[in-house]
Formats: sequence, C-alpha cells, structure tokens
Amino acid sequence: MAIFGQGRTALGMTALAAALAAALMAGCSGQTARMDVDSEDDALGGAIGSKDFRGVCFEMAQSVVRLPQIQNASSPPTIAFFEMVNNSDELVNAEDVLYKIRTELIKNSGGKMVFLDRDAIEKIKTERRDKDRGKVTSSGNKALYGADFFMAGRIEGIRRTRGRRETEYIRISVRLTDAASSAIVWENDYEFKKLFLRGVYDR
Amino acid sequence: MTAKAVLMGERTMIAGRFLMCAALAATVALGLGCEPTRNKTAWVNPLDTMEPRLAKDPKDNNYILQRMEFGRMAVMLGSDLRAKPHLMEAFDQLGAERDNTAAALTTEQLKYYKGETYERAMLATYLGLLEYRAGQYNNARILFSRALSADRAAVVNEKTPSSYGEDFGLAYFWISRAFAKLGDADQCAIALRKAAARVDRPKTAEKELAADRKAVADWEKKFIEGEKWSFQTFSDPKEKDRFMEGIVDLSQVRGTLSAPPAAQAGAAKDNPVLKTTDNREEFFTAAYQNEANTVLQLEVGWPPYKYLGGINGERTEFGRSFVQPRTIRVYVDGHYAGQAFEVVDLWEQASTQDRIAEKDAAQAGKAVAKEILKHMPYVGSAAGYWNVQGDIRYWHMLPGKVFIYAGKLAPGPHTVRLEMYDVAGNLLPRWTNTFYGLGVPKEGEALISLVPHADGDNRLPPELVEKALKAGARPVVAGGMAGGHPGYAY
Repeated sequence: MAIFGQGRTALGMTALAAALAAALMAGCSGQTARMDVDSEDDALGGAIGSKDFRGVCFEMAQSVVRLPQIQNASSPPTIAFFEMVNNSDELVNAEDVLYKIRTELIKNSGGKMVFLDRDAIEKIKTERRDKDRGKVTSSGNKALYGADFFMAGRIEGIRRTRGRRETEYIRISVRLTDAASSAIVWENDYEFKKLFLRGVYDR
Repeated sequence: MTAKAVLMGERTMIAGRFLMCAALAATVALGLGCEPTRNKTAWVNPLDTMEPRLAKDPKDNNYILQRMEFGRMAVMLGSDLRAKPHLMEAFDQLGAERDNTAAALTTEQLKYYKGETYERAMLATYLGLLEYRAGQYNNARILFSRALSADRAAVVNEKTPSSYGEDFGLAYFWISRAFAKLGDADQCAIALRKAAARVDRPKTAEKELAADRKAVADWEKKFIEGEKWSFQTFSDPKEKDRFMEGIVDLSQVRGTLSAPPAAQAGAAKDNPVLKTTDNREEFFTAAYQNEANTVLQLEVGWPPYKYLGGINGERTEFGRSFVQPRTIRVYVDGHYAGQAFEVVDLWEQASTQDRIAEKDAAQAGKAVAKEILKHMPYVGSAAGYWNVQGDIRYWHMLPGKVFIYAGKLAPGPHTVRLEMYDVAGNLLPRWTNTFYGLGVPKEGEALISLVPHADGDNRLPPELVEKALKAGARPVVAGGMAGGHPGYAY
C-alpha cells in the first residue's frame, strides 16, 4: 500500500531530482575569485604562503630604511644583490625575496638608495657599443656604478614528521654587507613554524 | 604455473622497453575504466593514450594516483618533460585539504587518494631525479628531502623503531649526490651512510627469506623441466610448425654468484670500465661516488599490493610481491663493470609502515555497526548494502626493488648487460637484459633509469607467441604480467 498519494510522490521525486541536479551542477562548475594577497592559504599546503612572503619582505624593507648608514649617507648608497640561498625543504625561488624587498625599498625610501641591476650589465655593454658605433643615438655614457653594499640572505628550514603530524620551522634572514670592508652592517630575520596535521583518511 | 614455458634464443631486445610500457599502460588505462586502443602493427605512445584520460578536477579522488601512474610511465619512457608537470601537480595536491566525509561514512575507496608513505616518497624521489637530470641540484635536494620526510610519516607509534622512518635508501643516495653537487661534503657523507643502512626486521625478514628460498627451490625444478620441454619442442627444424630459429636450451645456461665474473665472448677490445667496486662499503663512500660518472637506477619487479581483510572487507592489508632478482651484475661492452646495490625494497617500506590507529578504528567501527544493523528489524536488509570496505588502490607501476649501479666508464656509447641472480645465488637466465647505446659524456655524468624485466632479452614477436601457444606453451608475457599482478612477479 502506498504511503503517499501519487501527486505527493511525483512532487517528492521532482524535488529530489532538482536537488541532485543542483548538487551535480555545484560539483561540476569551477570557480575563480579574487583574493586578498594577505589571506591565509594554509589549507593549500606548503610552509611559505603569500602572507608570510609579504610579511618578511615588508619587515626587512622597513628595517633597512631605518639604518643609519642609509639615513645619514651624504649621497644615496648603491646596493647590489649577492645571493639568496634556499636551504629549506620548500620549493620556492629564494631570489624572489630580494626582488620584493628591493621593490618595497624603491617604492618607500624616497630615493635614499640606488639599486644596481647587475643582471643588465651585458645588455648595457652591448647598448654602449652600439652608441659608440653610432648605431643608436646617445646622450653620453655614464660610468657603471660600483656597489657600496651587497644584499644577500638565506632561507633555512627544519621539518619534523611523525605519523599524521608534521611541523616545519622556517627562518628567512637577509643581510647587508659593506662591499669595501666585508663588514655585515645589518642583518634581520623572520621566523615562523607551522603544524600540518593530516586527516585520518589521508593515508 | 605450468611447467611448460616458451623458450626463445638469445634474441636482440625487440623494443622490449616499449612493449612493456604498452602493456603497463593498458593495465592502467583499464584501471581508469577505459579500454586502450589496440594496434597490432604500430606502436602507440601510451602517454598519448593516458594523458587525455587523466582526471581534470583536482578534487577527483584519483587525481593524484592517475598522475603518479602517468608520471612513472613517462619516466620509464625517458620523457622527463611530460612526466614533470603531472608529477609536480600530484606532489602539490598532496598538501591540499580534502573532504573525506563520504569515505568516513561508507567505503574508504571514496577517499581522496594521497598514497602510502612510500608512494609519496617515491613521487618526491622521481621529481628529484627529474630536477637533478635538469641540473637543478638545489631543487633536487629539496625534493629528495621531502621524500625522506614522507618516509618519516611511516612511524606513528612511540614503540616503533625510529629507524623505520630513516630507511628510504633511494632518496638518501640521490640526496648525497645532490649535496656533492652543491659542495656540501659533510651532508653528502652522512646521506651516503644512511643510504647504505638496511632495515632491521629480524623475525619477519628471516621468515620471508626462508619462504623465498623454498619458492626458488620449487621454481628451479619447474624452470629446468619447462626449459627442456621448450627446447625439445621448438628446436627440431623438421617440425616446421614449431621450429624457432636460434633457440637455445636455457636449462643449460647456468651460473652462480660464487663464480667470479669474467669478460664475455665478443667483449670490446678496450675495457671501458675505469673504476668499479663489488664492495658495498666502498660503494657508499663519497670518494667512490665522486669518481663515478655513470649512475644506473635499476627498477625491478612489482610493488606491494593491497587486499581486503575483516568480515566486511573493512581492513586494508598489504601483500608482498615476490621479486626474483636479488643481485645484479653489470657488464659494459662485454666487460664486467661491477654490482648494482639494492637501495630500497618497497615491501620493506610497506611492512614497516605503522597503521593509522584512528582510521583502523573508524573502519572497524563501521564494520561492527553494519553487523549490528544487519540483525535489526526493518533496517537489516538495507544495512547489508552498506559498503564499508577498505581501500585497495595503489600505485601499480612502482617497482618492487630499486638497485643503483655507479661506476666510472670511458666516454661514448655503451652496451649495458644486466645479469641477475636469485636469493640462492643462481643465475636467472630469463632475467638477463641488454640495453644498447647508453651514452657517457666526456664531462659530467650519465644518469639513466632502466626497468629490466623477465624475458628482457627473450621477447617473442607476436607470430612466435601464436606458434608457441599452438604447441601448448604458456608464454610469460611482458615482464610477468600474464600471470597477473598481484602477488606474482616472474
């Protein structure tokens, strides 16, 4: 014997079909959304997210700007990149930290520093040759700047794993070295540690 | 297995690697629920068949597993460029949080598959190798290090020896070379020491060894009987329907590890082997490895398989695939070039991996609940349909064991012949594999992954397989797949 009348069964079936269709649609459609660059993305895995990256670079840039060697210099000191070594277990391009610090410094230091683009040296030389030969116009050559300071750094990490638990400690340090004396005139670091707890059914 | 086995002469390898890969691709494609394209006359790149069928949605439960299978196939075929994006995507997705509610309520097979600890370790190791081969040594170091971290996750319980999480020798070996490239001699030496260390499993290992010795003894009798039958059946030129030209009696091809290796007939006039060792201790030293300009990664056999246990199949158990070769001797251009050393045994990795207590408890809880509900009125019949089975998915294309050969060879193209021996030290003539045209550069190093398999040098073309079948033989196909994995590897 039917519990429901035929009309109610049909209505129920229609509602069920609609719900299933909606669920399927939701499952099939992709999504793209603009996010805050400082939003947490820990759920996506990896120790270094955009929030950490930006936090490191802002802190470093602020710290450099306050340096007496920069603030009290009679003429803007010149800074060249040396190296950024990644000794951690994270697949990140370590040089990107230096690039971001440079961007922040150039944006916010009001011309108190000059960064040297050593990656462009070969292109500059080629351009000079072309100018000297009259191939391209010239407004006169300037001397290539030497560096007053080298900027370099390291990313270090310690990863510990047991069963479902994994922790990763990351330390990012950046230093400024006097190019004449090799004295380290400034160094700062940024540390953080993250815990990854895998789900029961993740293995 | 029947005692009759088809025997072929020592034939040149007929694109053996590709044939095996095609067979493996077919297995995987079937696993993906698709029938592979069949083509008797032309070789179809299995990557072209597999790639369009990979799950597109990163939330698909098999998204990672399918990429693992594809990536390993691409590595086997030497296509690093096609392997890397998919392996890297799989690696990246390992860290993503996924909802496994459905798996928690019903069958574990609905979970988002992220692999066993040793599968994750192999994934990171393959990626590290790709980076190493591309000269990206720091990226390689990072990935080998991640492989070691993945292995450490195998240790869950306080009582489990921590050494079980420090025994992924393959990654230790490669990270040692990466450290050497990065100029870190101390770390290189430490990693090599760890690569040389073996897992201590006193009771289990002894039992397995005894079982293997018995299996080998049983196998030996069948092998000789089968090879003799094959030779008698297919060597008579008068029997035109059966005769196979060039056939040799493999039952007469004998050898043991106790016999010292010697240069082979037809060996090159100049011995290309400049530095080698049979000493495991010396092999795993920085001094030796620094001199070695040729490294062969030899991947043999099949990985552990899974099956269901428990009254409702709620428990996932691991099975051991029998891998016949235990020792590999390497010959280059006919000259003895030294031994390859085992660096990882995936069964050892699987059998020393702690279970996740919470998961086992959840699975057991579902099984108990199902039993109770089955005996209740009204819901009993419905409860019978409640699927609480465990998950038996695994990375099929992984090897069972990985050996490493390293030596210093003269620059130029070489022919590499691998001879393999079983647990009793007897030569396995069907496991001899020859690889041609392996190039050693004048500067730098040659890093080559090889997948030797049963009948590597004795592969039958289709017309001879037909002939053999008509005569009543049961040929072993494509590296032992005819018998069908799981649990059996010729």
